Amino acid sequence: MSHPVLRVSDMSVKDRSGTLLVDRVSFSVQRGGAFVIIGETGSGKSLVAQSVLGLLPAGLVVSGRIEFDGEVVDLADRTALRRHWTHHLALIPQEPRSALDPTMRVLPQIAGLGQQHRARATMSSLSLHPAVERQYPFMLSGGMAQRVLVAGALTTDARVVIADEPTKGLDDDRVEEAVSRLRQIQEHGRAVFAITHDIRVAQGLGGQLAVMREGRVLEQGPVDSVVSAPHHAYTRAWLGADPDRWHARKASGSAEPVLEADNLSYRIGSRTLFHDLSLDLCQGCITAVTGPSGSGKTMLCNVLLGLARPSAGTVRWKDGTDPHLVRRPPLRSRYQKLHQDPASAFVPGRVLRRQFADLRSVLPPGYMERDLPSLIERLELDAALLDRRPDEVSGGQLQRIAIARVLLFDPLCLVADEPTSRLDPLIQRDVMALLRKLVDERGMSLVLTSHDRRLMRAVADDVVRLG
Amino acid sequence: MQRAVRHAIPRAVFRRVLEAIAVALILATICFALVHAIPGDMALRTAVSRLGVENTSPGAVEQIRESEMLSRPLIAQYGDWLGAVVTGDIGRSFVSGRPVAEELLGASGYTLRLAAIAWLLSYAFALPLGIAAGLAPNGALDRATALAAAALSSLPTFMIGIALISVFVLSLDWLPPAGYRRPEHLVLPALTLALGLMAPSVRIIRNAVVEVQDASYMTYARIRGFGRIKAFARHGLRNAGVPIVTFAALQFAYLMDGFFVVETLFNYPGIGDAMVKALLARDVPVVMGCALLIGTTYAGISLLAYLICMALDPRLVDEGHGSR
Amino acid sequence: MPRNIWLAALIAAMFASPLSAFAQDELRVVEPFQLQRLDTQTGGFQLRANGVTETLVQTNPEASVLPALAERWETSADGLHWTFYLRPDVTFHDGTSMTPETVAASFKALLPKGNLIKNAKIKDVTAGEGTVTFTLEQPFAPFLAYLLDPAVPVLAPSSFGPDGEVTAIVSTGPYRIESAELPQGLNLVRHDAYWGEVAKIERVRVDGVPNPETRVNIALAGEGDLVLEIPTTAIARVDRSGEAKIVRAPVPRVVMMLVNVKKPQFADVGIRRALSLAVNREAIAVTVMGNAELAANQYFPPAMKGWHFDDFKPQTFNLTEANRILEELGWVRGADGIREKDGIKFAGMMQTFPQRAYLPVIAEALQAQLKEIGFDLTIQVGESSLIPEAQNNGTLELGLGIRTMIYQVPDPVARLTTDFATDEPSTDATGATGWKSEAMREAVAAYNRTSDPAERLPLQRKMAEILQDELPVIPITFTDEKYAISERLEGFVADPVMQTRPLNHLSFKE
Repeated sequence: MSHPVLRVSDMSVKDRSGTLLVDRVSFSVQRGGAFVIIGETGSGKSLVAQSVLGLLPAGLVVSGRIEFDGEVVDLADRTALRRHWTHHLALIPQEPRSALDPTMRVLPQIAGLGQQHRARATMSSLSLHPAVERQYPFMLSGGMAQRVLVAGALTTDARVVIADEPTKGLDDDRVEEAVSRLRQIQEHGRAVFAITHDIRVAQGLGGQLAVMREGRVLEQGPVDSVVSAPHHAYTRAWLGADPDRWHARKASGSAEPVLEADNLSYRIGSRTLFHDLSLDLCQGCITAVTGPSGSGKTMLCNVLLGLARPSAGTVRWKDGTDPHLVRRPPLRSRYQKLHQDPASAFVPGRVLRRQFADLRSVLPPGYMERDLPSLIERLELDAALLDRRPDEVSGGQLQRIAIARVLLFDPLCLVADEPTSRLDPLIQRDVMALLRKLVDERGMSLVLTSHDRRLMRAVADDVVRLG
Repeated sequence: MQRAVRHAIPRAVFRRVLEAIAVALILATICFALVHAIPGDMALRTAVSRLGVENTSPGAVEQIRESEMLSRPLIAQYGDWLGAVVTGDIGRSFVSGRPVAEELLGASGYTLRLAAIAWLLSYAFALPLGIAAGLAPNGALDRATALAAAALSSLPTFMIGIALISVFVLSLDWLPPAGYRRPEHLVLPALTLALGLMAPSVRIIRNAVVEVQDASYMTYARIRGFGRIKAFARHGLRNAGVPIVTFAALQFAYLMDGFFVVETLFNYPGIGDAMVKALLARDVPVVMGCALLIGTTYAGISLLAYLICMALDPRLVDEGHGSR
Repeated sequence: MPRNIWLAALIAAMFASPLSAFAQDELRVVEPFQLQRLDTQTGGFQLRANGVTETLVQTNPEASVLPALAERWETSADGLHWTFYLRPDVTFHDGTSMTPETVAASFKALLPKGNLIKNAKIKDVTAGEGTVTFTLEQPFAPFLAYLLDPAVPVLAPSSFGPDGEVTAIVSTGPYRIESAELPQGLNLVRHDAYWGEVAKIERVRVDGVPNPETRVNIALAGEGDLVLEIPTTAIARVDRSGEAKIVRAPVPRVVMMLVNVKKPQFADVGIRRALSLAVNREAIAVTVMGNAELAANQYFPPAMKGWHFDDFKPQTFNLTEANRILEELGWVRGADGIREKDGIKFAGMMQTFPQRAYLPVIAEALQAQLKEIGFDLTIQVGESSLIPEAQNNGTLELGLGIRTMIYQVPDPVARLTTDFATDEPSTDATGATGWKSEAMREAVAAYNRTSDPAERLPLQRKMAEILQDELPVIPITFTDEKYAISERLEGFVADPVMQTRPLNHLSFKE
């Protein structure tokens, strides 16, 4: 075992009120090796990376030590940490395209001062076409931009490259590509320190894996052993949350159609999002719509809900009703939508219970007393949560509350637009399981959109592919 | 990319020039309609403006009606004007009898000088203040400029002017109260306009700077070894520049509004004063000449701003080219 | 570095004025008018007031006609020929000599553009041996006064272009135009070969500043030596400033209520008298004009000897009498206090204009005062030329306007004719509306036939009496002119008649 290039000892982060956000985390990164922290949102994994870089948000206090090749630095000393930027530490930020200055060509950005030759050499070693160096960031694809950032990291002397959520927002089949780019860093003799919520990153890189939750490292060890023999229950749950490991669903559709769409087409300008698309939605069915971002998933949802008119084709709701000519208002309220980001579906700053009460003009009287408590109970929510504001409730809970709100309308058809893409894997599994159960119990039809094909495979009866 | 730039810029210029002509003509047409929609005898108004309130005789009124051919149908008058404009002749003033082009050239020279100085002055103050406030958001300077900006923008231009006069002219006796002949005559009108311009632009600059400071490319640049100031100079200025330039061009519209007030208060000759006087006198050729001038100037400035933005942000060139 | 130099050059170029002809020792005149074009028809009054143009005669502050470019004159027995003996050795601004031929040519060119002088009906102008003779179509006694029409001064031949149009102002006055910046101002320089008293101050700058507050600021800052038309509200401030002092001079100008006598509620002269009695002129004169003596109890101000008569019954404020007259005429108060008769409301809309700042204020005072006798006055402030339009098409009910009785021509009859004795349409916010008096017309005609003061006086009294009795307009207050004179200036004497500034008499204190 070689000497570690980076060793962190007893790192703790507190906020102003003294709450411990990261609790005595210690780890080391081997030369040319990999160290991956996985954890859900709020687990403290990002704080660990920020502390190492000396970039913690103002108001947070860090304690502990860090050792670069034998040189010990106090983690609280940000200025000292900054001296190690480019010498010991480089960063591959998340969302690579926005990490590049849109007004500057690629080469000067990653080369910095007087290192153009080196940057060019690195770029060609990553098989980036020489023309790329003269391009502007907006001309690059996401993957290309990430490769440019990798080149940027390799242009420095840094022995440790920190990769922040390297697979965030990537389509399913691009994850492998991103991991292989990180492996190229290792091939250049540098160590990779990645933080992610995607277990596939850890599996792809090998090396050490730490599982974090609520500021604490629950388990730490070589990736293979952690994955094959997790010690901690949370780790086991995490691994089980992978859609590939879900139990397949038994189809239980009653074949009673609630929506028929024939020969739908939609064009924006000269672009065709979908063409000649037909689908039937039945009670108790889960229909998945997949496709890369920008392929028209959301537009299809809007067309089905009668919120947008297709360029060609027809949509018929129950009993042949044209959604654009709904003569029966109650029918309109039974075709509902669940939004991607639950926070944007609620009025910020208004107590949730009042937001439910706001619906009294469109719901039968007495729903607050009669229907709501049982729904809240069914969704395993604490009724006290309703007395909070949207920003005081976690993402998973808020999505459940959003589901409760939608269910008050007793929907025939529920269109859920990427309902779990912003949720951590464990919560994603919970929410999906809940939706599945609700479909079975209530006999509604569920349309799910997602770019995660594995998730779709795990839950859907039918899959519509776009793009 | 290079080809895109070569094509995009002439295209943008061409489009904006067409727009400028259209805007100017529409503006002039609206002015023509408005001047004639105001009730009253055109010839009498013109005579009163030419000869004075107590000096107008019925003969003079008829003479003006005759010589300016005011009794013809409006559509014929408009058609003649349009025909003359195509040949580059924008007519003679009913009141002064001089060519409108000559009159506007004089007035717009004064106005342009005042506008340019006011504008430069406002950004000479606003840029450092806004950047400093943006680099330390919620700091003492940021709060102070926010307060000052709110106070200044709630004050009408003439109030700012009167306040400046009472301080610098009547109390301190440093500057002349009105006029246009000496350089120091420009100071107070320019300062009045500049303070009005500054109030919103400091906030715009501050917000643009805060936004780029928070951008992830800024963090990335710093991790790549650039100091705070260096990273801002390298990435911040250029990125913050686009919204600032766009806003600065928009502010010329505000300037037009401020001209009349400032020109009246400081007895400074200029386009605002000329236009209001021409409106009162029903001096149709001058009113329409002003409209043409204002329309084309405004379009010219927005073209300039657009070109600067294109130079700052290559994405705009790409959009202008329409290749995506 | 070169970039900085460019920037500095740019800024310097912006500040650099192309009009740098400026001297600290020039006389700075600030007046409210802006000269729109450099010809005598438009700018004649300003050009004469600032000592640029002159004509054969001139006036003194008592309105007497005195010799100027003509040393003396005589009239033929039939009154049709007026011969003027020209002053010898008069030099135009361009250095050429004034001759009978040049004077005659100047009149021939300018007479068609004259304003009031047209009433004199000049048939011909001929040059003689050191003389110029005017031939009239009919005898016209006030010819000398009409000769002072500022649109018709004596100009040198070099003033005219090839087509006879005025292209420059080259006259004989104590100052000549060095350069004109229209419409902002004029730069004048002393005419060293002036025939009279040569000016003491070499250069004069005349600025047209329409905004009264700006004129006040100029006076307060000591940036103007002679600032005209200072508003009443600023008098105390200017006097306190130590930079200038206020000189007040009466002006033969009346603020009057125009009444359309064709409207049923104003047709009866008794009603107009009641309205007049209900106006508290002293209160208005004190609060608005700042001087109780300006209250206008008759049409002509006291300074106009031979037109103002102390024995006229003054139109004193008397509400009881006004109400009595109205009761007698059968106008009864309604529930809202407004009188009515035969379904006609005792009401009217008064149009006025803001160019004279005191007019809207006076209109509001009248609104309050007339309410006391049950008259409902509404006010509309708009452009001044809206009033003559409404007069001509008969829609005017009431108006508030001003009349300068001796304006440009030093004989009140010139204005009385256009205001009260003509069928021509109205062109300014003055005069009678729908009122016609044969007696007035006869008096005016008789006045124009004679130049004998003894014969004229009874005619003057007759005209003043008609206006006093019939009230075609209701006088409210007179005005005075308020000049701010800088502390360094001496020799200023206000000219209430022609409102000229004797710039050549002015000098700076040592």
